[in-house]
Parts: sequence; structure tokens; C-alpha cells
Amino acid sequence: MDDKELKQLFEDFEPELTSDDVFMHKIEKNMKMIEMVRATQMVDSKRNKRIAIFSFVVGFLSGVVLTLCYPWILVLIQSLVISLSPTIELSQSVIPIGVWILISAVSLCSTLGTYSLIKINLRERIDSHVP
Amino acid sequence: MLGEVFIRQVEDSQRWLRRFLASLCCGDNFLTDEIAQETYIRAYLAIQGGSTYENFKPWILKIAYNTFVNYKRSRKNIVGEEPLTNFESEYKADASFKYERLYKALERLPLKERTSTVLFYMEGYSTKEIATIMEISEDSVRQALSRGRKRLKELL
Repeated sequence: MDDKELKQLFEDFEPELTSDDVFMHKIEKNMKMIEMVRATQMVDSKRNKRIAIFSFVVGFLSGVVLTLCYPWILVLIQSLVISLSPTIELSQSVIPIGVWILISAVSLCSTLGTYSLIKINLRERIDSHVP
Repeated sequence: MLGEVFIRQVEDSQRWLRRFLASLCCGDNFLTDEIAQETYIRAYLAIQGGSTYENFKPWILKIAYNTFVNYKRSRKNIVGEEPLTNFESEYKADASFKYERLYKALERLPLKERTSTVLFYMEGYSTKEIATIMEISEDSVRQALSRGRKRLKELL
């Protein structure tokens, strides 16, 4: 077979393919499924963003409230330390640092806790609606 | 809107893309359709992800070729040392068997030689364009083309 015949063979190549309609129907179905998954992902992402913002606000507010209550918390902790171990002398700067660490930890926990609680609650609600 | 435009592009291109894939798949219609479907899905996702192209045909051919290569690799991992040609032969479904000799000859060519030859003779692409589609050097294309041409002439 020479080069010309080889070229002709490929140019005339018309394989028997499956129906165009069936192929197009399958493509359209696949594209619809992609769109469906994409739409679900977008709803999920928006919901997650809202939950994250709400949790941040809850954490921030708890931080503000605890900061405003700082003088009382400080007195409470100091009296607690004295009553528990009167012999140990803690420096005046150690207790305030401890109180600030405590306030930060509580704020962080309330942020993470709010986020987890909403997520669990939502998952339960979504699971109960799955057909 | 994007979906409608893409559907129109698929309608216009699916015949020649499946023709190209049918030659790569050596007449296996089932595999041809599977690879073609995956190619279009990848293309659609790429467009949605912001990918752009100057010319649709070479772009989709590149995706089709890569999809086919990935399929071959995945089969190799599953089948192991068993020659891939055996798998393809089992699924041959071209009812007319009109191109049986061509398919058998193509089946015996390594993938690079097969693809270069098909793109050169069937689609009329230059070595430079084939190099871009297959993401290899022009020299490799020339070598593969020369070897593929020689072997096909012997086999046919």
C-alpha cells in the first residue's frame, strides 16, 4: 500500500457509530447532573459561610461580655486562688494573664461550639428530609 | 447560557470526535462513546473553571487524547501484564466489520504512532499541530509518524 492509498483509506473512514440522538441525550443528562452537583455545592458553601459568620459573631460577643466582666472575674479568681491555697503566693501579674487566657479560651470554645452545634443540627434536619 | 453554547459545540463536533476516537479505540463503539462522553464532560468543567481556547477542534482533540491515555493507563493498572489489545478485541462492536483490517493494523501500533498517524491522515494536521495536541516534540511526532506509516503499509 502506498502513501496515497493510506491517505484515501483514512479520508474515507466512516465508522458505524451509535445514534447521535442517544449520544446527545446522554451528554445533556451528564451536564444536568453536573449542574445539579454544582448548585448543591454552591448552596452548601453559602450555608457554611453564614454559619461561620454567625459563629464568629457569637464568639466575639462572648469575648466582649467576658471582657466587660473582667474586674469581677479577676476578683473571683483571686479569691478562689487564695481560698484554695493560701500558702502559695502568686505574683500580681500571673493571675490577670490567666484570666485573659481563660476569656480567650471561652470565646474560642463558644465559636467552635456554635459552629459544631449548628452543623449537627442541620445535618440531622437534612438527613430526615432525604427521600 | 454557557450550557446551551456548549451543547451546540458538542452537536457540531461529536461526529468527527467520535470518528477520531473510533480509530484510536480500534472500532470499539462502547469505549468510543465512553471516552467521548468523558472528553466533553472534562471540557465542560474546564470551560466552567475558566479555561479558554482559540480553536475548539484541536483543544477538544487534546482533551480526548489525554482522556484516552488516562483510560489506557488505568487499564494497565487493572489488567497488569496482560496485553491491552486482548481487552479491546473482546469489545469490538462495529457491526459491518468494514474496517476490520484497519482496526487490526491500528491495534498493533503503539499509542503515539497510532494517534500521530490518525491525526495526520484523517484530520490532516501538520506535525506541529499534532505535537501541540499530543504535548510532545515535533521530532517525536515525525518519528512516530514515520514508524506508524511504515508499519501500517506493511500490515495493510
